Amino acid sequence: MKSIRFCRLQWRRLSALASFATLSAVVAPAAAQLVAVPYYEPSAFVAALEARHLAPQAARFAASAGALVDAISGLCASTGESNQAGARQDNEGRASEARAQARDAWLAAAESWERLQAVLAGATVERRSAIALDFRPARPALIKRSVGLYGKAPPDAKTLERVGAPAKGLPALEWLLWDPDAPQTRQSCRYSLGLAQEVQREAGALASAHAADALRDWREEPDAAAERAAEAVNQWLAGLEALRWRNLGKPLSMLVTKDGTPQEARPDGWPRPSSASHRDAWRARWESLRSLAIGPAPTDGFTPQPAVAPDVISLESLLRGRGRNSDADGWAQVIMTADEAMQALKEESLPPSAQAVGREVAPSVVRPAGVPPLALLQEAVKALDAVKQYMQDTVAPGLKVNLGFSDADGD
Amino acid sequence: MATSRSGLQVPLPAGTILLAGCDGADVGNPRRRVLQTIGAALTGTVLPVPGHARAGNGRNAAERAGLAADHGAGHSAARAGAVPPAGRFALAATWQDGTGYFVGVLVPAAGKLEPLSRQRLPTRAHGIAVEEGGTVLVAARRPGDWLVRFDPRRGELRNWFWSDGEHSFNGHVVRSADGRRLFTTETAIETGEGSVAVRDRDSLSVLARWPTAGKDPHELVLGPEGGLWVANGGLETRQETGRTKHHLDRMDSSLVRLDAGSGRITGQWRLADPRLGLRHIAVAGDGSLAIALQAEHDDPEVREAAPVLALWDRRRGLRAVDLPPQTQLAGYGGSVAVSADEVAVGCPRAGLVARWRLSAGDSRWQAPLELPEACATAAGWHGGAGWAVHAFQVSGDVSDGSHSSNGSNGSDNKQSGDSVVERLQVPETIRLDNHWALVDRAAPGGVLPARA
Repeated sequence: MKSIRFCRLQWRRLSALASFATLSAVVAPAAAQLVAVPYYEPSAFVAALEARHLAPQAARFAASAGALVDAISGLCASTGESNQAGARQDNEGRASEARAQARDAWLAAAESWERLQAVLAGATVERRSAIALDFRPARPALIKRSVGLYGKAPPDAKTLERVGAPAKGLPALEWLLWDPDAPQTRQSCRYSLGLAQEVQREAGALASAHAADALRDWREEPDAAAERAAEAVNQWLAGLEALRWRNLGKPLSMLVTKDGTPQEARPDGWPRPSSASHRDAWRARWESLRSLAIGPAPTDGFTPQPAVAPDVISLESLLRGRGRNSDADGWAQVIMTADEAMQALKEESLPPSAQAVGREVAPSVVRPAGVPPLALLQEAVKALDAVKQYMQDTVAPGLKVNLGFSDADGD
Repeated sequence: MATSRSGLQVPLPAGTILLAGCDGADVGNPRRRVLQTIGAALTGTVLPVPGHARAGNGRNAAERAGLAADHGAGHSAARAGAVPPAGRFALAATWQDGTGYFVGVLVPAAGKLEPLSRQRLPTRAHGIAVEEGGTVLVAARRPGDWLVRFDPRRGELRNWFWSDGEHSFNGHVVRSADGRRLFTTETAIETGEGSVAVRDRDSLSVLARWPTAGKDPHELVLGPEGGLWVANGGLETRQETGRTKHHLDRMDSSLVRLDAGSGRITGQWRLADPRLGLRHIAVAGDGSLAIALQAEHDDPEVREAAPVLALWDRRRGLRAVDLPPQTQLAGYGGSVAVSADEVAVGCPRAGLVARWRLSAGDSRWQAPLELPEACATAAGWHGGAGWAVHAFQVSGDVSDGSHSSNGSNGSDNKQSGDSVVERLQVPETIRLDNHWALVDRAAPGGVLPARA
């Protein structure tokens, strides 16, 4: 990505800069603690990102993908067929329990994947893992057809090359595990197992690649570090956009118009249509984005910078390290405002500000399962949009990062 | 920006005026003519051009300007002697303001372009196609999730079509020659391959899908010979990585011509410089093409000085048009329009409308028009930040510099060579997207395209 440049930062010591002690603290610049923030090199930023965020997230995803394979293996083992009533009842009981375990395993794997994909960088971009693992919406007709064609044994990697993305990955597994229309046969379970193994292979490859990146001495690769840092900033914005529009704004727009008239029913527009675990998806992605957006500087700036900082270097810290304290304050403010809106999605409460926004939404609109009040969604979209604007207008320019396309591009 | 049968553009022969005096009175005096022109711009009236308008051939300025000559719809109100109602012409446009994205119609009035009707959109809108009956099709871009029909008379959005998740809209839509089908440029999310989706006019649903033999197909237009021209931008972007441009070293932009009935590719052309992206197309009256370019060179200096225009014709094929020495347009052409023998490219990063005079396959650089964030172009109408300009040509010498005010400020009106340039204020809150299209409010049915 040669069009993207991250400025080569020179190490400097700056003092008397405000910081925010905890992510959940209400931002109050007037009462901010005065601490020193170092001027981070891109290599320091990337080293911390890889070692403290991406590699651990990828490892967790790989572990959860392995657990998913085990759980679906258990489900397949319990999916017996018996002609005897007693045995059949026992089988059903075991299958029900195994299915619950498989669903829990899927939720855990999806959660860890959501945290990892919040900021795609390095191998996750190169491998197009998001397409392989998380192509949405799943296509039930295509899944059913694939079950029939390839479910005689768990399909291997070569077999799955012949299957389109809408019938693979986590969304297809979700449909197979939850949807009442999904076949619950040995054949479908074998197909599910093949999909889970494919997810595990991809997760393993990502874990290996990010582990290797975490071990690189990025100080020896300044150009690669600058490129990776710029990629990470760009992808932070891409991850935010996916949350703001694809996971929240788009399904909301598909559901209602300005006067609240219901639109065509498109439940597959929501992030987790079968399991109705949309809130988990929103929360996981947002928490991952937030952890990279704001937070205290991991070193004090008065000692030689370690090869890998003990924690991620947030975008806020990068701004403060460049002396952009005011920009950093504003950034923290919009992030915390968005955090409040995202928390509201989880808590089902309706803050006063959301009530005003919600006037446009008619009560007749039927919310799909797992979808919070639409006014809360509107408020979250609005808050995330403010984050996007601030990133475009202030943060990226402040860090001298070019965005591939920006809203300023006419196209 | 499109042209010809697409209904998006209005080709204007040289020496004609689109907006002129108020009542068809004496238009022989150049100075008076210009003043009339300025005044007429405020009301949107149409007047014949001296030496042509009432030359006995029965054709008025609008007809000679191509408003009615090349299509069946006709515009009776513009016939010789008729005085069309004020505010006849308007511009269908998309824009954003501080509160969101909109599609609407902007009407010249009192030195300004004011929104006549508008409707909020969920995300950014890009290309526009005006239909018979005055409805407006709008396609989304980045993210390209929807296609919608806007009815300016009712101020309603109709016929929403949301993408299926497997393809994304690339921001442009054009009607078939018979108006029964629509064509949209799209990208397959999984593979990144470009295609033209053939859609039912009413339901907007997909009837067929034709490969474009490239990535990132952007604008598409119908040529007079029935070919469907598509500009493959050649950039690789991915849904999961948002705005990032991948593998610029593998950029592969091309111009392709498809059979508009079968989708068969009947020609494909590339420029010698692979980092020049072909992106927007306009068709000239003789069937040749003008293509606006966007440079993607790594070297900023090369990018800044890169051409923004390419031309195609049967005889010479596809070639880039070099800029004059010392001229830099930041390598970014945001839209293109052809008016008779003049091609205009909106260059927002340079704050200019670049112009060339076309003659027998050659192009001659003309004085550009200054306009901050100039981008949207449509037959002499150029949209920018805070202002729009309307440039049109007149016969004879009008360079007396005496027509300097339309009431906004002393420098609102300029003339450049043989062109008269009017400036109209655009509401400060509006930030136009790349494209707009001229519509004729006086045509039967209300808001109708000036060219069908």
